[in-house]
Amino acid sequence: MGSGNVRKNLEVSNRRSTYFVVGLIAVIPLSVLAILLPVNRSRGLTQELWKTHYSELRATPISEYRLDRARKLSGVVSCDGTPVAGAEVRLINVDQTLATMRENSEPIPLSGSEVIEATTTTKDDGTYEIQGLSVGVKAVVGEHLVHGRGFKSMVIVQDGVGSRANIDLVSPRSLRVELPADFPDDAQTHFVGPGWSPITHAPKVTNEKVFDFDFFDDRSSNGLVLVTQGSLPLAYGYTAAESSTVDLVRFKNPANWKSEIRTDRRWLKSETWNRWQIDAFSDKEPELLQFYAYSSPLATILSETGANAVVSEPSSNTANVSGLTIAPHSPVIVSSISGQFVATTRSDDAMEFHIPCPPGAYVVRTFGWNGQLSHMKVVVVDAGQTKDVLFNRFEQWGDYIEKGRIVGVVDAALAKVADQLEVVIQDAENFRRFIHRVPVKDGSFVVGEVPLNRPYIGFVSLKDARRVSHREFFSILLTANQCETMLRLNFNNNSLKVTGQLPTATSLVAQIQTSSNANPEDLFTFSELKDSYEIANLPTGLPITIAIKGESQVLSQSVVTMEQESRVVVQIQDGILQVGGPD
Amino acid sequence: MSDYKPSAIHTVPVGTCGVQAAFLCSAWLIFQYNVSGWGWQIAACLALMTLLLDWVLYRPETWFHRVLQWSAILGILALASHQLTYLIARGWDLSDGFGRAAHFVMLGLGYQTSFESGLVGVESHEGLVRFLASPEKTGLYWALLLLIVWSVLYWIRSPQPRLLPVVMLTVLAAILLVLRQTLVYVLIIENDHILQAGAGFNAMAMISFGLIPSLALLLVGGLIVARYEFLGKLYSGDLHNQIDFQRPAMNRRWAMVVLCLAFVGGFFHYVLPAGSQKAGRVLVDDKLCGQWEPTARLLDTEWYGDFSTYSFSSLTEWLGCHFRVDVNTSLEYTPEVLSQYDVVVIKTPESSLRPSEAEAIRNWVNAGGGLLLVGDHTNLMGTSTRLNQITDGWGIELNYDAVSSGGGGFNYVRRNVAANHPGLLDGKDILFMTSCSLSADLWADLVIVDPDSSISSHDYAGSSFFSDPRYFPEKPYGPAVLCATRDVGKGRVAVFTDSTVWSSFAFFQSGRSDLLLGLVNYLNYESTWGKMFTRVLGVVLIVATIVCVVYFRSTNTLVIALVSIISGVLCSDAINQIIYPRPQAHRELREVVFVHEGGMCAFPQTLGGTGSLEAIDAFDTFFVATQRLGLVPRIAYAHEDTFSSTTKVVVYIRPVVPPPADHLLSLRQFINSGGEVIVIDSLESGRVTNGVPLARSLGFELSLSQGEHGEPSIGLPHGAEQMIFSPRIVGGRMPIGKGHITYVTGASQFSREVLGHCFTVPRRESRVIYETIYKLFEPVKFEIQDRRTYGLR
Repeated sequence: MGSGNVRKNLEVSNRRSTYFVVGLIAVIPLSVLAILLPVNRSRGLTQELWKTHYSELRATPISEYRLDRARKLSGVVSCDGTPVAGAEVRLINVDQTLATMRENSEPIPLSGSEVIEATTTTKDDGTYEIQGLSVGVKAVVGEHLVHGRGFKSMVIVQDGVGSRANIDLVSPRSLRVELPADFPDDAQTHFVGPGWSPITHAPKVTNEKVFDFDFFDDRSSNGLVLVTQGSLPLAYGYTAAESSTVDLVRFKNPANWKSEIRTDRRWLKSETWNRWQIDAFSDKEPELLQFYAYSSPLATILSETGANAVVSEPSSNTANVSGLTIAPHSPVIVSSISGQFVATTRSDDAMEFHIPCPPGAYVVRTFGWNGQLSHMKVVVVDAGQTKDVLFNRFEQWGDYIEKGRIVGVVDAALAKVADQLEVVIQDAENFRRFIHRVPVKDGSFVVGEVPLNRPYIGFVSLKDARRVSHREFFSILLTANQCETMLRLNFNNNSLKVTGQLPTATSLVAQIQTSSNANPEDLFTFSELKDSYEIANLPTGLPITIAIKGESQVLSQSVVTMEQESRVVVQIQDGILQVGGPD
Repeated sequence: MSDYKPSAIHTVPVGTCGVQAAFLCSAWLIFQYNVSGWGWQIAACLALMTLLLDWVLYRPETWFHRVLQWSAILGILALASHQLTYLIARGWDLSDGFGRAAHFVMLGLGYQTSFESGLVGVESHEGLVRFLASPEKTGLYWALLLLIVWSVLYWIRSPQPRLLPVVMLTVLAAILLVLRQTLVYVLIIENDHILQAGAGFNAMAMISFGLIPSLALLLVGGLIVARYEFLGKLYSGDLHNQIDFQRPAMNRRWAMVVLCLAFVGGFFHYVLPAGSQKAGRVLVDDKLCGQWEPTARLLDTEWYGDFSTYSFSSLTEWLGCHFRVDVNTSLEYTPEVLSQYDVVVIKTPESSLRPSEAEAIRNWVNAGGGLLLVGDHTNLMGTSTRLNQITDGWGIELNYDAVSSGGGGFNYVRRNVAANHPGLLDGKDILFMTSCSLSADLWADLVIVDPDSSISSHDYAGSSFFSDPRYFPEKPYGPAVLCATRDVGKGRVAVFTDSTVWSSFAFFQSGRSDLLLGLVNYLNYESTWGKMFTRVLGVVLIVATIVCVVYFRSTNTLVIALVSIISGVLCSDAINQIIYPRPQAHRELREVVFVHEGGMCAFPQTLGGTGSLEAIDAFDTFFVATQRLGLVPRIAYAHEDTFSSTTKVVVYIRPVVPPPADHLLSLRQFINSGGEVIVIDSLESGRVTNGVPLARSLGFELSLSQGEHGEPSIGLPHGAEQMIFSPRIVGGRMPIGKGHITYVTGASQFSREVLGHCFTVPRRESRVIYETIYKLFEPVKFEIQDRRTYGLR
């Protein structure tokens, strides 16, 4: 009986302890669950809140829901940093313009209403917006009676994203070109003034030796005056960056100039080549042509190629680029990466070429019989050095001239990653249409079989990178009369690190000045800094102003200039900016 | 533990457990991974053979025990496979070592090889061939899976389990894997056609090639155990010789303890507690996405072309029915703007956020905001880069690859039986189109993992950056994370990798709309410290369970533990549904159900061609057209799936086999209570269908005749309204009860053949058919002013 009770008690005890364990383990999740279940559901969305919103939406015009609001162009028109109200903004459909130009033998006036897609006027704060545009490449012209005109090209409006273009107005300027007193009276004179752009104006002849251009902008600061006196061609150049009255500079050794002018700086197929003797040129429209004159054996291109081009002769013999082409009569062009030096030669009887040039990085290009670019290499030549460039027949790029081709130079010749770069080209309007990737070899790249008459965007990045962390975007336009597009891409492998604590009620802003008369562009703004912040791939060679701003005043300010591979640290100590410090 | 007593004497066949486990595991593995076509038959045969061998050789004690063993094996395999898949998806990978070892063996064999970044490079006369040492190619996944199961079973069933056999088998497995990998390399290198075909590395080939050595490995393992036991003088030379051994007692109390530990562990491991529910104010970005997936413009009857349906318009309208939604077309993301919202959706950004905007968004998430990021494949237009800039440091990153099923097809991800993330709601399996994969750390919650996918890295030379989708030795195959969430401070972030499936043309198919709703609903709750607590507690309890199982070493304990864990996981699913209830629609949803069963119609995926399906039988454009009226289309692949609480219209296209009688009864009730049924019949030669009998069976007594030239003529009963849209599309509408039945002919006119692809701007004749569709749905369509469910900012 006793042992039975003990057994019974033991069983009861066992059962109790079992219940205890089970109960304990069961209580834990239940209690925790009770804690974890969201207790504050009162903040949940009520039907009334939704209904209020819905009733507000029903009052919105349905037209708002049918706007393709993404296909819009917006921006600010300003002059010297001040927004300009009441400025007229005209949008030029460049695609249509180019298409029309291709079909017309004579150039059309580009300010004509047939290419103006839309016009609007800026608001009080200088902003403008044009909605419902067609996709494609546009050019925007802003104009104000007092503040002048401004222009922005290669504005690409995409479906779904539209575009943005800020315009800086430039006060109207006139350019006066005065011929030298010893200028021959019987000479025929031809001006190559402003560049090939929709705001080109022809010069007015004030008197026989004074010519006025009504309007020009920075892009037309370089010009060329071609003169023929009898059978002798003369060439003068001018630069008008600062002054409104320019002096002509006569190029040397005129006896060796070949009387040859081409209508396009591209070497087009032979049937589209147009060569004129200078004396047969007078009845052509000069402002839409581009000119080349050659001398032999050393030639200089006299070109009007936009903002960066400077008409010059090789002035230094401290470095040399020489080499062999794959065939005689192949023109070779050596141009500096910066665009400050351009030289060309044609090896009439031999395949050798020899071009003295200042030290620096150069693109060496040679051309085939049909004018297509056949080879391209990038060389860096130091003072006193001669760099041989040997072109190999098997490296020839072939003739893609019918389809269009994009060639270019990646300005990373000095960067450590120069041989690890690749370039991606993509249709800018429809990203599904054309995408191509090519490696950068010898500092250059070529993309063949590119469909014509399309805008493209591309970028350069590190090969096989898991992230495209280093890249540069650019815009290009391929048209039928421009079968090759030459690109220069900067690969800015640099970084700017900002560390420290911002004072209360201040913000850190950074602006970059892209050109002398443009508004500074915002790079970044911080209202708070946690430990540090690093910004990579900044533009090189341009002053970046970094400032700590209070509500109305600038508390501290520094200017830094980034270079390739540079690592700049900016520290904030006691509310003061200091450039430099531990990285 | 003080009352611990050895249990009764157990009797097992000595030296057989390893071999036995090998047979059983192998059978399961074959069964598991040959799940389609002839694979099923082979798997079934092998499984039966294995069972027969098992029976003949080892004479099971009872069938009950055999069932227990099978349950245990299946349970371990399922859990181990699930966890391994998730671990590999998170980047846990031991394969590098095997690749490196194989590289040294190849060097020894005289090949010129290298090893770098997980790739074994072998010089061949074709040039450098690169092999990725990924888990499926090294055979690691299968070997590891089987090794786990073998070890557990060995430990439980062996009379005197020791560590040495497990270690020996592990070492042997490693050697075998290296040799196997070397053999693969040599075979590929020496056989050009394999390399050129690219077929040598497809998933099935890898599985088969991984399975055979693994099977051999386990058989050898069994023999090792037998030999080991022989050396220990326990082996008598007879396979059926019995020995006696003792195990710790497994009484009822301890069984309950194990049960509770396992149940609570399984439960806590998968439950996802939530913080406070927020107000459901959602902001969808339309500023950064460029031409991709435009959102602000309403999908209506005036806007056509690919950008109309390749848009997030339907998504936003649908979301606006459940939450208070705005679309941001121009606002800068500042703390002030963000403070007005609880969830922000940023999709496929083609332009970068300003640093100040990114900082504001990150701070806002930390303070309790919910951020849904939607990416796509191959870093197209740099979208992944930009999204990764936002998630930098948060443990989730979009990879620059493309995920597909083998060979480049769409990957179909099946919903788990249990352990589903609450973001999935009660949704269905999801068909992906063009996703990328995610890298997620251990603190991320994986929402969708495709266990068997083909992962191709991006290639800027390819169209849309797609690389060659075929099988290549340098490409990985296996688990890929397609959607994940993570708690960040007080907020939450979710990343989804396939914007295409949320485009208007695909949004209302394959459970995609439910996924969006679930994710936004999940983000509408703040995070809580409780999640960390439950996760840690879950792991601790499961480890405790494993300790108990190892200690007691009985099959019964294992079965109890496994069943309890699975029960706990199932229970966590139910609790998750309570914590995150499905959001209710604030505006009426009107569902259009296209009944597929019994009809000569198909609804292919809009993206891509129709394959062998003729365009005249494809009605996907028709399906999408209903969205232009604010309706919600759905496909019912079976009659029993026809009705839901929001069904307003049921459409039968080319009905051939009539619905069953009980379903007809339901249809009549549906019509009487105000529902609409539309029957679209076909009189074309070769495609004559039975629409008239169906309409009659529902109470619409019409008659149909054809003229000399095949033109249809309809006889309508009194009260029916005649409808003539074109010579081929004629019919009538009959009011019955509170609803209507509509019958029209000319089904082919509504097909993709005539309507065109839904990406195209319709031609004049297609536009006429569109207008016909709009008239057919006139009684149920939403007026345009009622469809403004989202604001524009």
